[in-house]
Amino acid sequence: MSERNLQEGHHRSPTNGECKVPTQEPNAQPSWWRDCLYWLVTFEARETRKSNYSSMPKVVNYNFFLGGRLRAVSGTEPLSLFVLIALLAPMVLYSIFEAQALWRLGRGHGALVILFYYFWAICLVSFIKTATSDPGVLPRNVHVPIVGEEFQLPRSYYNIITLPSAHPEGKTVDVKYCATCRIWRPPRASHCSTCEACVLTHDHHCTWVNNCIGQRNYRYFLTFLASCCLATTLCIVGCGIRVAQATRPDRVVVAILLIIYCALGLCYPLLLLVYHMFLTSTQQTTREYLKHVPSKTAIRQALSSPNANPFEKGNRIKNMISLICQRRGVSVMSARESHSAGDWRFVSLPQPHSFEKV
Amino acid sequence: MNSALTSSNSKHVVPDDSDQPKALFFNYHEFSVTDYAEIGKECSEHEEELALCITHFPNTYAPLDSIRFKQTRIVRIPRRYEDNLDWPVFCTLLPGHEPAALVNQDGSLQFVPYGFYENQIYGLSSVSPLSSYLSPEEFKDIVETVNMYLRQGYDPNTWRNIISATFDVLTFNLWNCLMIRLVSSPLLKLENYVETLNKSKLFKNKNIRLISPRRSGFLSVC
Repeated sequence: MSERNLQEGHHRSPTNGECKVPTQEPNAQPSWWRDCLYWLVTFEARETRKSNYSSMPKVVNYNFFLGGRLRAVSGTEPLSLFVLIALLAPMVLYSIFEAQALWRLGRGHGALVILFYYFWAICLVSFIKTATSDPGVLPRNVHVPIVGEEFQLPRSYYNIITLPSAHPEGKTVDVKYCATCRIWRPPRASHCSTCEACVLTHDHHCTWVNNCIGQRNYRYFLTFLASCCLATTLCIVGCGIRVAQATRPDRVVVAILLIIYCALGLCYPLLLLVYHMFLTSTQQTTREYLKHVPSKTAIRQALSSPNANPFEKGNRIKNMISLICQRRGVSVMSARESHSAGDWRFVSLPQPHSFEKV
Repeated sequence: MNSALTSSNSKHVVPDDSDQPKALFFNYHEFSVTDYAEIGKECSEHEEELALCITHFPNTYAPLDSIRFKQTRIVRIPRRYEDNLDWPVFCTLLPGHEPAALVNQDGSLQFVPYGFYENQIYGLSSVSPLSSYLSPEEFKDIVETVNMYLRQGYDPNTWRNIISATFDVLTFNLWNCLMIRLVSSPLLKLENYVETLNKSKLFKNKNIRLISPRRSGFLSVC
């Protein structure tokens, strides 16, 4: 009986209405330019291709570019494009109107220009890395317990498992099963419903970069914030010097504009940077912070670790290093590798029945 | 036992209860079933005390319609968090040897078949068929080697990592691009170790295979 169920399950899973299965390929072979375009922008899965990036759109909510080298979440507002333009615009204005004048001043002002371009370049590169790289997506369907009965889950898989941890005071760590991805998630991994994937050491989903912030891109995210603050500060200083030396304000309109723009552009990244510095020093991710914070003591929550935090090392510097410098490791769901036919990672299994809360 | 229905994230503050039993480690991949067929009997419902312990699982690394799927099973070794929380560490004990494992009535640590569930044979304890293939010492050696590579690949608290991260930031990520080409990552060395192990006599003769940890997302061994 269970064997028959297995066969039924086998027949049912590719055609279940809940699965994201692409339509049949047309009989004619796609031409080379269509292949080129597909390699450039991959927004739907193709059964005939064996690269991971051609099958991943079946299970995760990403579009891939340049053969899986870059990625962006699909179906969301493209705020990251707006941020990209907001990054490029001041650099262009600065280059056209301010850079040469500052350079000519000599006596160290050239260093100001160089430093601005340097930090701006770091900001741009880290923004692109944050927005387009793998945040630490975990593979699906690694821990499927039962194949029969439409891949249902045993009751114990719905529990949160409490396990002993390395914390010297005996604090415990919680492990939870993700019913969507069908994996036992490590602590701090979390499922993002926008990206439709479980992400390692999930911090938050950032709409401004249109990507999750997780283990593999957290350092780029912090670099982006820090370099943005530095570049805007240097821009304000450089333009301020120009304004101070100008005889008439109408000669330095762009400089004044840039000062205002950079002052506004400094606020949010600086706030976020300070917030993350406090969070990392108290060994919390954004997700953990939001989970534990009652609204009255929001600031206090950022300054001290929650009581039950098993990751706390008792030392702010050690906490910061373990989070800021967390190792990227290797991509475990790499978009550029290939897979064989029937790979479970790219199959959407039927959703398990949910329990009603009574 | 915590349930996902009663939220552990509720704002209600639970007073610290020092009388609560200490958390013990167990293999959370395993689960129990009570409707199964004892060997030689028909499928029927059994009591909780005689629940069959599911210790091996479908091979999710082989296509569903393949022969390999039908002929092989997976034993999952869970991650353990008592050593540290910064890098993945796998349990070095065979399933059934963990502190909170279900034990055989006679206390032995052998796989004792008892019943069928979904056409597969299981026992009443947490001991899996893997115990018939590898001794605890062999198993521990293998997993400790895997853990060593994982520490080298994921430990953030080394000067090398901090300096490398700093250089990476200052050189527009070119440092990382260079390093991955010049220096072999311990995690890729781990893949080589697993390949060598799978080709070794120990594994070939017993017809067992260790699944690439990278393929399983470092979530479990096998």
